[in-house]
Amino acid sequence: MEAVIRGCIVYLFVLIIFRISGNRTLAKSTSFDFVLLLIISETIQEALVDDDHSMTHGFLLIVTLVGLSIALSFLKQYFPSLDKWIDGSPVILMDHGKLLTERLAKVRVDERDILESARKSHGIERLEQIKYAVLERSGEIAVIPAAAP
Amino acid sequence: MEVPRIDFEIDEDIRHSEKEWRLERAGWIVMGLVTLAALSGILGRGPLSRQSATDASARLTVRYDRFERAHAKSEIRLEIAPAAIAPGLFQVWIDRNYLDGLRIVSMDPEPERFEVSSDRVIYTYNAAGTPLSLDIDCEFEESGNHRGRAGISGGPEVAWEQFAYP
Repeated sequence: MEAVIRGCIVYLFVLIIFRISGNRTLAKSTSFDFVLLLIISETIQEALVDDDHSMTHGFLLIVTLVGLSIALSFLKQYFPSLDKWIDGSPVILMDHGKLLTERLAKVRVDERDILESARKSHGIERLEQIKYAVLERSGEIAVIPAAAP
Repeated sequence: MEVPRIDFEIDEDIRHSEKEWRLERAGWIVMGLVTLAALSGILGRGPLSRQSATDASARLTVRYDRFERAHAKSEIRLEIAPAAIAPGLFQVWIDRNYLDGLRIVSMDPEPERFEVSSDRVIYTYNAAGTPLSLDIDCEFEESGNHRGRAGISGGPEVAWEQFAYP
């Protein structure tokens, strides 16, 4: 019983914490973010396992966590507003080469992040070559290039 | 908030995003408060958690943390004034109900012997090696409220309360 309760509490806690921290927290792939993710996973493991290292406990935790994930995906399908609260919605950050500064400030993304994504995905060199930049629900920045003159 | 000219398919909902951002900021404040509470000792050991209980005659003092965490290391100290120690063997007791919720890791100094009665565990010390303070390293096995009681046999006793977070 404890494994299921622990699994549920930790799952909900992690869900809330990552929603509060914003979409970009897990998507940023700097080395520091990677280390942060490792530390968090190690800490969560301690809270989940506690002092029960049996296989049964481990299996129960996996079943609980995967089960919650499946249940949540069903709920999101039936309740689109819940989907928005859990996964967020995309935010347009650049409109026809113009930075939407208020939105950038709110989502804590800057020009360099957009240019980095643009370089990686389309080999874009300058901001004016971008038509739209969108912060996706996954936390990644999608870039739609402007049509070549 | 700027409104872009959207000429592609996207399910942006900026009103919802604005609500989310407000909630995000409220969440940051809560996280800050939780961190401050942890630093102050409200969520475990720390300056606000450290407390002591002394009997009316000031012969026995128990130092403990008001807030503890289950399955984490904890320390309780019993300080006995020299006036309370009779020559020869003397006994210190701790409430058995309280000890049932604990796992004692070590006691310093170790008692000569201990006996278990219906409501208390009695530790016997030799007054020659007068223990003025008795350190108990322990772990709370269950979360929740724990009421402690300890005393010197035939002498003063003190009571205290601790809360162990899960």
